[in-house]
Amino acid sequence: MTVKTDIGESSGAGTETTIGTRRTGIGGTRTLADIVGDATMGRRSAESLREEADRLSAGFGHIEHDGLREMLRHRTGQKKKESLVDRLNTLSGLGFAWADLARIFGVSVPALRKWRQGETASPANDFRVAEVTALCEMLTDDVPTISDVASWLEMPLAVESPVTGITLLAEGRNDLVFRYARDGDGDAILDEFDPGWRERPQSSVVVVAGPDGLPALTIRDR
Amino acid sequence: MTQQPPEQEELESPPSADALYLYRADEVLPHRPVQTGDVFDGVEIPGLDDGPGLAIVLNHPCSMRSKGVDLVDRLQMARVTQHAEVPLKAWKGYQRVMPLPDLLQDDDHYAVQFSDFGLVRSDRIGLDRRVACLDPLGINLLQQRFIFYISRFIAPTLELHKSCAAVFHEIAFMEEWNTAWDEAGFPADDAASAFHDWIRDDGGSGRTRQSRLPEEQQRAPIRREMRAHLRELTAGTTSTPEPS
Repeated sequence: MTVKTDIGESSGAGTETTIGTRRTGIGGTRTLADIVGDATMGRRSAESLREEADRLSAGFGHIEHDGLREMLRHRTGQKKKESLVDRLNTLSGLGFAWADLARIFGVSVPALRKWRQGETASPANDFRVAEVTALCEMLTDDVPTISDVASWLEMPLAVESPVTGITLLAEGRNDLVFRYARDGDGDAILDEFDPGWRERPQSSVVVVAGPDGLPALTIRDR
Repeated sequence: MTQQPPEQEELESPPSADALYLYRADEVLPHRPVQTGDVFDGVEIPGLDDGPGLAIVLNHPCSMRSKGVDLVDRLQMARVTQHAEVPLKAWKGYQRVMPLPDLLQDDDHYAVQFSDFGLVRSDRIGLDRRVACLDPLGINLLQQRFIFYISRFIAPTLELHKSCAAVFHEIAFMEEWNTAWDEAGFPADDAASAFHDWIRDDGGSGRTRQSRLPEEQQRAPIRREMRAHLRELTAGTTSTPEPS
């Protein structure tokens, strides 16, 4: 048995309801079960679209990643034609600290000093210097939001983390540097680079301005 | 209700022995200003009566100099002695010393003896007797251990680093300045005051370069300014700096 009622005045299972006075579909009045069924179909269609969008995004991401890697490879080849000293001078001109460059290349500061004085680097290190110089050039030329690449790489990706672009380069994660430059989402990069960073407990010790105006340590207010 | 035991905090250790050091043995250059964690040879520490030997500077990086230029009259220094090698994983068990593995790159191992420290006149230590400089990571670990030794307070090295980062960068700037100054043949005695005149100038920005150093995004621009200024000075584009 069906009884037509307005929404909110149901009278048991199998009730046929109208939504106000609106008629939907060719058949006019639709049952609540019809509406739920349509919503389920809509939800499943949306989920399917989302999965497809994710697949497309991943696919384009792979193309983007492979394309950037190829561009970097090509530019690195160009940079290798320059002398090691010239490449280091380029990086110096961008404003990098020598200690940060030593960290990126995985060598000591004295070793870097010897390179600057004309000593040769190992083939792997020579390549890495060319690669980092090329990478900085790509970031400067191709990412309009980066006006000062050395400064940008020194900034922490998130307030709660000490990880910077320098850290990523020191770990060989050119891919994350490119993605961060293009997407600007530091949290997402940290989720991949340092998955436990969000759960790490905050220190109870904080840096404040001391009585003389210089930095001092104190216990965080609870 | 049962009282929970307090959480156990541990003193930190470096990722590797090499990570402790910036310079060792013949890598040490006189251009680097004296800093926390510098190890000198031939130092007599008053009150220890053990004769001259290795000693390390303990002063906080912000407390090394008067008016930012001259070393304070007396430095807090602790004796450094030979010590059995301490594996990195065992560092947390050695709370009264700070291990200095392979300090002199001769396969011998040393440690800072926090119980053996005193005040040494700064004019009694010679830059030519400096045998090692710690990396900021090493300085932070030294500070953590010394603070714990004298107060039982454990300060995380990350926060220690944040409080000293601007000074670490300023020291690196000074080292680069001193190196260029020396290579240009300018009087060595004038390098420090010339650097401080420059770092305390605002360069037209309204804020001194020194006051901008605590901001990460300011350091690269200041570095570029310094390098350009040094190129001008050493190329003779501007007049030879007047002695201060």
